Amino acid sequence: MSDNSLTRRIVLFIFGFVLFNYPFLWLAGVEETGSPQAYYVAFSLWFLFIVFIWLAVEFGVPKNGKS
Amino acid sequence: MSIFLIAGISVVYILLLFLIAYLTEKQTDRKHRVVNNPYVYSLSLAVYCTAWTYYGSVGRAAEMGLGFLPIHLGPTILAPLFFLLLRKIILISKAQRITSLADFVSARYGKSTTLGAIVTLVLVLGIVPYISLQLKAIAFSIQILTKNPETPASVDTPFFADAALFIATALTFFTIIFGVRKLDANERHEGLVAAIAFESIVKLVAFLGVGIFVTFQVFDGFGDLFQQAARNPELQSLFTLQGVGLDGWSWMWLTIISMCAVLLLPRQFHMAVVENANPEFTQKASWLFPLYLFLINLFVFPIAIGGDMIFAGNPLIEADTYVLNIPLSFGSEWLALFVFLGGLSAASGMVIVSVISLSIMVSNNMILPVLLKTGRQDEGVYFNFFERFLGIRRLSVVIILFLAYGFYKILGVDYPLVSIGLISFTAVAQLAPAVIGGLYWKEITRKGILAGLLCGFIIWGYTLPLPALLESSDLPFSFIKEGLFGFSWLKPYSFFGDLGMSPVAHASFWSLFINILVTVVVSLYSRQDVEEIAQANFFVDFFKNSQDPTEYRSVPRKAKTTDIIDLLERILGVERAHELIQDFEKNIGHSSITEQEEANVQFINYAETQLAGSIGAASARIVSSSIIRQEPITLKEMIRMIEETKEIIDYSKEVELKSKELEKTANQLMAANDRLKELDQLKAEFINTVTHELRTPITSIKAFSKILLDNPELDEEKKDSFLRIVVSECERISRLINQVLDIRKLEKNTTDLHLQTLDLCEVAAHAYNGLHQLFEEKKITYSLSLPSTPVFIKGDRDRLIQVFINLLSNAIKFCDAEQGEVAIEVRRSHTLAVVEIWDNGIGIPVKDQKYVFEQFTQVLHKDRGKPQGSGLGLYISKVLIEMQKGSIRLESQKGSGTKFFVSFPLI
Repeated sequence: MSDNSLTRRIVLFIFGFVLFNYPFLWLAGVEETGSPQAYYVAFSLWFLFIVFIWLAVEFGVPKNGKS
Repeated sequence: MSIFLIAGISVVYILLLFLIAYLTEKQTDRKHRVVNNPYVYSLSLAVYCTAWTYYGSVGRAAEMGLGFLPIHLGPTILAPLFFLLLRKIILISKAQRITSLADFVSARYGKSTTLGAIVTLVLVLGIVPYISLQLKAIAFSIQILTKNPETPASVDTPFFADAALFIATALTFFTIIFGVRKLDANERHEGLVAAIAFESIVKLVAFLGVGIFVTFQVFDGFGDLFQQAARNPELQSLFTLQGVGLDGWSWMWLTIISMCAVLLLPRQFHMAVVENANPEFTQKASWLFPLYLFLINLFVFPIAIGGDMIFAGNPLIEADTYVLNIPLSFGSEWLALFVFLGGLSAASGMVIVSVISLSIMVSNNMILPVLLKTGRQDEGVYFNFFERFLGIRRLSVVIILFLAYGFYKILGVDYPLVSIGLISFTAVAQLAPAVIGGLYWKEITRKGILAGLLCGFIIWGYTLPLPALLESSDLPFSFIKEGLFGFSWLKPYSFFGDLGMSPVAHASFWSLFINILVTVVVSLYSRQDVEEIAQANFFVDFFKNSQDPTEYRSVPRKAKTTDIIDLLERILGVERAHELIQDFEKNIGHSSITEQEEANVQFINYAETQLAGSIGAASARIVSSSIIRQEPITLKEMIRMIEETKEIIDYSKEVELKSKELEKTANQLMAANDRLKELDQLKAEFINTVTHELRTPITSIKAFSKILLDNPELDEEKKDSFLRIVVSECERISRLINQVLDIRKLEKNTTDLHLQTLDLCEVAAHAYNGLHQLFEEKKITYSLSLPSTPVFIKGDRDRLIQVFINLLSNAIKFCDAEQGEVAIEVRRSHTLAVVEIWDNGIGIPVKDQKYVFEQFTQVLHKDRGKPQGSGLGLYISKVLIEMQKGSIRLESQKGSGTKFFVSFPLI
């Protein structure tokens, strides 16, 4: 696996870890308002992150896994 | 709902699973089997979603709002690293025929039987309650369907009427038939994979079905559901973290342990690693699996708050049962039945795969090593080994399943689904340093892992299951509230002080922290043996080294071919053993392996790897040690190895030094080459210049001579003029040739200098006076400034005159074309005699000044083009001055003229 592909995955992992902790809770509004919108925001971010992985995997690395 | 209907549908469903598994295994075209694709692989990973997700997530959401999410967000966060981390584990496991998590850890740390047994023990203790939780979920879901929804669930049903017992029995049969039918556990159970993938589809569709029913049938969409919930202050608090007592740290630790769990739970390891058909499938699974988790969680929260509103004021209906009770309470019995099948899928999938995995571990890492170590190493141990060992593994399946059933009957009722799940997650997280660390850090030792794992496991036991069990038993144990021996820092739920985290997060933090700390410290202060070093190199440098598993051993081993074949036949069966030998002969390209008396090292390693696939790395090591002789390392050999290592280190240092020297020399050569190129270029330019300089006067001489020859009648005045030109041009040629000869002499150091004491003023005046005519012709203002007394130096008079004439000629050549000025001054400066020659010409750019004293160099002027002359004058002058212990320098700026300073030591 090339350094580029490796870096992309590690960056995505770190981004996910940070996103789904305090920023995620803050963005979901759960700590501040208790609005029902929290559910929408939480699941939108989750879906968005899956799209990021999909883009990184399907469009970032050739099929033989040796980018 | 009728129990017979439920039983009938359950039986049909389980038969359907049998059929799917059977048809898949019957497919003859292995390459195009339905399971051989990344989509089925991703669905098989969804065995992660058990009854806990199916029923328990709703219970957790009803109690903690969005607090159910971290368990599924953790795997999503880790998913980008699947291709990096999981793929490496898969490739290593395939190469070493590793068939379980305990085997993986045991193999990594030198095929240790102790480590394998401890890991197995940790996992059995951590997972058996989790399996019992699945049985509980199935039994309770049947009770809910058959009784009044308000009847509390109970485990007091007699054995003969207990649905959980029937389910456990059916699952035992399925597991034995499709999971442990063969001894070679490394062969994939494709029927099982197909059945698990099918179950994943069923549970997802069923859960989405009930979610859509609640959201769009019972309520009028998400907006309506949330608006109604927002009017209820109790439900509104579910949208906040503070309201449910889950802080940010607890959230983070739950995501961390779920990241560990998705890799290290025995069922996950089995489906993701052992049953993997192609390591490249991890690529697609890294987004398909999170997508599955996303979809199955999409309606958890709506069902939870919907259920809370529907069953408000009815405390008998637990939130864990909303998915079944909501459709039942609205009369949708068929939907409830479908939801039940989804729950059955979630629970049975987990049970089957977990039990297969645990049975492999228990038989390979606990029972077999004990049998092999205590039994006689002769015919007795291996007699009918193949059938007996298969029996042991099947017995392990039965024991594990009925242990789980017993746990459910004795303790299960007081445990919510979520509690047991999280306790199991924290237990398997203790293996993270051994597995993840073992993939990337060679220096971790077996002792380090053993110490770390034991510490982590003891803290886990003390801070989570122990207080939970004691609390549920209602026994008066004061240490939970007061701390062990009255020490408050030993309270299980606030071990080492209260950090304000939930019990699970608190236990996760301390158990993992101490585990990692002890592992690192002990590893740094302990040593690895030869086997550990070999395995550490194989695991960590897997992608760097050759991927041939037979090449990693450094210690030579010996065995008789017949002994190896005999061992393979006894353990794997005659037929399988011969198949494997044929495969080996085919791979290495010759068929005489069985004819050799002494087995070669490749065959020994191959046989041991094949045995490891069936009985585990540690047990394979024990059985092979009876026939494989590992030559003991003598003191002499040890010294030789150390010397060789030292030689290698010295050689490496020498090579490093040499390479630095070579690099330096290469740089010098490159610089010299550049300089040579530059000189070559200068020489070419010089030849051009000289030939041009020669050709110009020769052309002139030729032209005027021809005129004189062809025109004898020319008047005398013209003849005289032409002849003067011819003479002048001949002198020019002579001068040029003299300069070139001067250079030759200077280069060869053959110039003779007649050094004598002389007055520099007189020499300068002589040169100056010799150029009067030229100054006049060019209408240049010129001046000479001399001190009142002579300035004595030691030098060659003629050569100095040559130098000054050259410098003055240059000054005349380059001074201002309209109002030229040239001056020469002689003066004393401390111990030096200095001659300054100045002109008001266009000057020399600073960047070109360093080149003017080099041979063949002439500075080009854009406005004047190429100057006259050979470019040798200043070079010759400089050399002549330096030969007389003098020096020359210049000061000039573009447009402000040039001043040369020639200095000699005063006498």
